[in-house]
Amino acid sequence: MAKIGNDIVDLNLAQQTSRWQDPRFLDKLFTTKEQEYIKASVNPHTSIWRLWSIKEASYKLYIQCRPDCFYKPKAFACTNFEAKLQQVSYADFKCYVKTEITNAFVMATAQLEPFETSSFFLKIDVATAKTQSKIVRQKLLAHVADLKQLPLEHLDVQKNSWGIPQLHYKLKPLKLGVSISHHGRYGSYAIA
Amino acid sequence: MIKAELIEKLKAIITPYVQDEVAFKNLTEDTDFIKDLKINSANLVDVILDIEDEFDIRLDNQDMEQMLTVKSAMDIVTAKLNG
Repeated sequence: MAKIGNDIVDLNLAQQTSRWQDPRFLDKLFTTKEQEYIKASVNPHTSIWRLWSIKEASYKLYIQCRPDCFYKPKAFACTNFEAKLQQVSYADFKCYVKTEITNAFVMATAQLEPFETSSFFLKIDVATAKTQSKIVRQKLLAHVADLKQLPLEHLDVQKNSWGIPQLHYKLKPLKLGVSISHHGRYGSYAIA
Repeated sequence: MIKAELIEKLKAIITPYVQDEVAFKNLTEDTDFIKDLKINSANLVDVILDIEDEFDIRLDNQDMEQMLTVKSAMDIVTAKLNG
């Protein structure tokens, strides 16, 4: 089954809620090379969240391949910062990540092969994380229903014990890899 | 530091990042920061920095790796304070 990982960061929310300007913040998340790239970039804030979303999307792809649960963002190393597709490596694991940046958010989509697949995004104007998650899931299911010509009422998406989203059709697992993310006013999903 | 005091300090640190108030009210040592409290993974590093400041300790990458539950955070902080 094709696998996919994604992530979205609301830049406005990240600016307000994160300690991104703390030197310890950079050192905890990013390799020396990544830190140099961030410091030299025109907009360090955007570069931080671009690299973060690359790492998070890669981690979400990784746990689909090898179910696990850990927090090791620094170890998911990105090297070719300016290329169209970022290459990320973690031990013997490698993947390719496409990022998209607007003034409002950064979004990353990770795959095992160098495909330029994009995530889909939506703006969400509700406050609670629970409702945000529900809206993104509904949007994803509607998309899958359309894509696979399946009746929406028989489709469902549930996270397994590893936190990996799994599609179901008539309560049976559907062989289609998906990934979901939401942050602040934005949600996104990816379909492999 | 006694356990109850440590839990209270951790709760105060994570409050601003919690997105599931019900899970927060029912917090136990087994509570998972991301899966249960719905803390955004982008904010996990902020929780770690706040823990460093509150307890005047420094956490390395190995410490961070397992800091996903209340219990693991308590164990790591306790080990650092006693180390």
